[in-house]
Amino acid sequence: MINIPADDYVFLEKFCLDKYKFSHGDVVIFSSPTNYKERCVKRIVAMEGDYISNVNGASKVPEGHCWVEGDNSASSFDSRSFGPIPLGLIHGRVTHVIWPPQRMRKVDRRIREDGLAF
Amino acid sequence: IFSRFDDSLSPAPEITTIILYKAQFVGNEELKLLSNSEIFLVPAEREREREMSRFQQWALIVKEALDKSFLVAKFFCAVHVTSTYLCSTALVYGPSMLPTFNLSGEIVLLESISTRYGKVGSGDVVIVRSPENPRKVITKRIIGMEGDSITYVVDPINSDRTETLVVPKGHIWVEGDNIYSSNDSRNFGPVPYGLLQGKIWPAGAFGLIGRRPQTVDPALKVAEELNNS
Repeated sequence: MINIPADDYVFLEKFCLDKYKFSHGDVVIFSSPTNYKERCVKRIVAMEGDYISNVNGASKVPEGHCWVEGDNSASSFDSRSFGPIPLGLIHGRVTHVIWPPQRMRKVDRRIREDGLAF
Repeated sequence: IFSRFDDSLSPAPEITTIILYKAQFVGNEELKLLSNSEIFLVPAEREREREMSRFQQWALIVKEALDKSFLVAKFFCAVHVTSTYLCSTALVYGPSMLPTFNLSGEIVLLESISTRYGKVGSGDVVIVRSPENPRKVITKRIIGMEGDSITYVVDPINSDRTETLVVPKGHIWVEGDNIYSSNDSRNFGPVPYGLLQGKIWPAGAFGLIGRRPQTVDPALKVAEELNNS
């Protein structure tokens, strides 16, 4: 799971759905590809056309898809399990945590240096 | 002659009353009151009356304009909510769903309630967001739901080779009715259920959208059955 444990309420921005324009490091909410009723929150690590380093070499993210991973790599059910997800599954971009009050903050884009193969 | 305004003597509030005193200077200091008359100042009264009713008229017009625009706004809200969450129309065009939908385009009714509650199944014509380009929506028929075993012809124009796979959990397999010219799951794989936008409705009531028409060569079907048995 990403750095938002259960029972955090977040503010979701939907203007990015107009053109499906996302960037590396965005935290997004999407329907899980294994169960459409569930929603997952993860960070976009790679967009279409990027290469992801796998155990068996580097694989390319297909067009129209993105590779999402949780910040807590150790226990995260993300693209390393279900593969790249189509961008059409994304419901919006997380901008702020709005509840509980002691966790209120802006959620920033954060780009990881490792993980991408060039 | 000097005058004073005296509203307390007015018969009505909107009428200004001016009382005129006629006086005469007697000598240098004494002032003798000769007569007084009350004049109802009609022009001012009419002016004030006109002003009051002008304001009231303006208020009335503004209220009516606001009511009408609220009505229009409410109508647009209702249309937006219905079209997003309940029922909408779609224009389907292209060769991939021949002969069900014609080439140049047909306007169909699209409902989103079934897809939200999982009430779609094989044989339904649905609209999905393309996995290759999220800004595009495509119309295809569901051939298999999750767990179904799909046997499909990989490239019907060039060969008769078929492949079989099981649709993974949370996904569906879609194909166009015209498999000779359709970019569907045979190219981009099973589609996650979350990409479904809506179901074309009604399925079968108009007699046009029913079971998938047989576009596969019957000899191929016989070969398939022999393979499966």
